[in-house]
Amino acid sequence: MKKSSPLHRVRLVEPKGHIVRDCPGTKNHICCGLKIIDMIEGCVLFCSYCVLRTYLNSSEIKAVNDIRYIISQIDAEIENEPNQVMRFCTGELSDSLALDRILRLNVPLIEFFGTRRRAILELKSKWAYIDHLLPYLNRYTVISFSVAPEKIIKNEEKRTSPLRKRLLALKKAIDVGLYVGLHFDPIIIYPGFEKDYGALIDDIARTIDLKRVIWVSLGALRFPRSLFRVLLEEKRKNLFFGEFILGEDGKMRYLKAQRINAYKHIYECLKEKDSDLFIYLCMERPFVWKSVTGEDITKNADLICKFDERVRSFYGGEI
Amino acid sequence: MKEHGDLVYVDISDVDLTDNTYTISFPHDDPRLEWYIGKTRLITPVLLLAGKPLKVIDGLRRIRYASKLELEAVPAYVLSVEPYRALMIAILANIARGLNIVEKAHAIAKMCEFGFSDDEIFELMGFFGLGRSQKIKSLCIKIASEEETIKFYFCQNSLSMKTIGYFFDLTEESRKKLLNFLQNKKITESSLREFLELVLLAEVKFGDIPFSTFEQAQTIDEAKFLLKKEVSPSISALCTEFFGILGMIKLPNTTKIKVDPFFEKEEMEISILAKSVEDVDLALKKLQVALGRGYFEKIFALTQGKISRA
Repeated sequence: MKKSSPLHRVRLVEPKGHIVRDCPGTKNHICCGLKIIDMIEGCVLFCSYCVLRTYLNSSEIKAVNDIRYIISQIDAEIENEPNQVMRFCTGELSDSLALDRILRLNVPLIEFFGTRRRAILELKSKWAYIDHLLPYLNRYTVISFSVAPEKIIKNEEKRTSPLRKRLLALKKAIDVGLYVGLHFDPIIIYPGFEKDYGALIDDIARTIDLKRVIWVSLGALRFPRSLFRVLLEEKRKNLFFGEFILGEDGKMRYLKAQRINAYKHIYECLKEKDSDLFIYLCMERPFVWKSVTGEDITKNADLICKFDERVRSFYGGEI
Repeated sequence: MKEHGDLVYVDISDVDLTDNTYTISFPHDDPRLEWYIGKTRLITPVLLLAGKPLKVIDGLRRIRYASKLELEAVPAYVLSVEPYRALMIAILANIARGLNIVEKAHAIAKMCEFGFSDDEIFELMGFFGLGRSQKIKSLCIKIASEEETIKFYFCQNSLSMKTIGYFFDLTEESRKKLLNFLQNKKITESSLREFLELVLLAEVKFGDIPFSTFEQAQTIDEAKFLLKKEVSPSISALCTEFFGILGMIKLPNTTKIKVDPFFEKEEMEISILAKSVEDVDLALKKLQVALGRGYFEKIFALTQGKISRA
């Protein structure tokens, strides 16, 4: 193995306890009810703003070596919630695709969801390589990419795929019959961000069929207090144009009025392209929801219900 | 080589009093020690490294004060050890009295100079409660090579490594300028850290530290307030407007209206501390007037991020 290979830092570990868990959510913020599969812990992409930088104690990447153990837990979760269309994602403590060409952990999951046909697997990434998955992909997997203006990708997401490649990978997924997701997360405020995000949305609309986008999330930049210090030390000017406050969850986030302004702009740009797009806010307050979308989303169940409707409208009776 | 010397009396003239090779003590002067030696003329035995001249492993201040008092000899153990062992002895001999942050930094920096391995250095750092990171090790080296006045400020205010770290995110010039501003200002560790964070944020945002904004401030809190206005103008405007509204309501001191400091929660807390029916009556009347004049609507608007007088 070459020394530069990311594999020299990956350790396969025996699974312990709950690998599948609820998204931790945040008090007084609306959570979409996504289920998290902690199959890999750690990431090779090293985005500057990533919470993993201070959340994980080690630079080592741990990957669970027993996929059957994970699948049995997913299956149990699906059984426990017969009335809800559950959504599972592997991209919380890692990137869903960045290491998969080497580790090949996604294929058995994709196959399981394709056979089970009761829930959706979301592979959320900034790494635009899905060719190894193409023979296995089925419509119960949603490939989704975080998207950001090229300026942010170049400066803050240095090891990730460029925007163009991400969009082409989404197109490839759509071409084999998949629905895809888009995550405007983190949204970063800087002088001229409105124009750049507008151009980003133009690029997206030019490259992929928005009718195949099952969901779009908007999430403004937020990070733990400890990372604030690191980002200051690294003098990451791009990340500090907005004004930060300490939220109820102990995370630094933009001042509410600035978040609303940014969300509104992106929301409206997206809706202009396709008014049917399903756009949700990631971890936001009911007041922010109302200000941006006009909708009364006051508790997690309201959003989960909207997700159920959206998924059923895409899959009909096939889920 | 004989490691353990016997207790002997050594002529001070045989000792190199200018050599700091093994010295980690800071500050270099210790008036209490000088006073004690002056009063008692008693010197706790020092540790010297064999050679011509003898070098001080531990006790440089004691010998200097003895010399100042014109004593001719001091009790000493003269050790024949390798330099790296002499350094270890110097550090360990001082640990028992409790080292300040600069002395800990000196110890780590000297271990680096002497070529100790990372494992050995990290072991001592762990013992000092500094953690075991390369970052803190580098910070120790920076502290050790700082000017005396700056080191003295760190010691005098018993600053933690975390807070000192902020100073070293600044350029040397800015650090000096900032420490000059901080001299003679009352601080707490947390207020200083908040201030430094604002300074760094301003530097990142504007490319330079806006010294002119706060250099006339009399207190650290005033400096923080002025800096906040620069780096967080919207939050400052919300605060100004909120306190302006409170000023107009003119509540009695026992009645409080609070919102969260970042105007994130869309709520306010109203409390009345009453010692009599009259207190309750007065508070309610004031609140009733405020309600009638629309002040609560204005406060709620602030909690929703709406600034009318930015």
